[in-house]
Amino acid sequence: MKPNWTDRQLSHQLRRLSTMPPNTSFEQRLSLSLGLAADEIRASRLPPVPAARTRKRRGFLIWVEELGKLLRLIFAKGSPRRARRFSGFGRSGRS
Amino acid sequence: VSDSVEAALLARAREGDAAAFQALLGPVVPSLRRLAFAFTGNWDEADDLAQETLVKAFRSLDSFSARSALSTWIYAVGRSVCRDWYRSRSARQRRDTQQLRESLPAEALQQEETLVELERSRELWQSVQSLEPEFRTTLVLCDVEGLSYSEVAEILGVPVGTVRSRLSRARGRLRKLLVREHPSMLPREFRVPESSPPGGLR
Repeated sequence: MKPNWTDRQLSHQLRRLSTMPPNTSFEQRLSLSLGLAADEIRASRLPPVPAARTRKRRGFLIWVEELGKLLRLIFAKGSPRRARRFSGFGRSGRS
Repeated sequence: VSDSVEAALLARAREGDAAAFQALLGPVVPSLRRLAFAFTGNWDEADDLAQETLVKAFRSLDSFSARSALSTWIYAVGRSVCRDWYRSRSARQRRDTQQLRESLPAEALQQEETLVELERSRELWQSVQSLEPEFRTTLVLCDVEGLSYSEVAEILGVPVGTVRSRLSRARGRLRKLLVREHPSMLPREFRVPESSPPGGLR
């Protein structure tokens, strides 16, 4: 028996299996699948949709905005009410 | 493909360029199909597995760290897909698949030199497919695809010594299978002797 030679013989026989020709329809099918996957990958790379667009968050932001307006109205130096109250314009007008 | 071209293709593939990905891995595709064929025993299912491997690799290309060659990484993905496929099949399903095993694809008929060669290839594939998965993978990667021991060790995630021992055992088992089931494939000195003539041994 020549075990080493047998290994070589086997390897030689097995190496012949690597000459199998590619199937062209596989390449076409693969292109289609990769194309679909490419669309998904590109879509995943797009910047995320701003979170404020979600309904809840948008509602909250509107609420905060309105609250801000109100607070500005109450505490702002130049608010008409504050102006009337502290400027003395009304009193001097009446006197 | 030079390193700079490969790096450029890899960057494009990571951005979702399918053509760049195919250009990068085109040469490995037939090998992946053969590896899958060693598991499934028919080309339709092998192509499904090869396709699954490539799409999975394309989607998870960001996880490729470039510490190994891209081909090594994709073989590892392919081996994982084939192993999952194998595990998902019951022993009975696998036996049925073996029975439904197709012959080589029609286009192979035009390429192979003779029908005898074609038949030899079919018999050899059958014997390879009878081996246990770890021996099968090692044998296909080393002997069919001609990868080095270190490459195969990296793909399988085992030491080089394990690859050597698995390959040795895989060849031994394959030799036994061929001697038993396809004796015409081996050299005369390794064939099972014909019935000895009466009184031949003295």
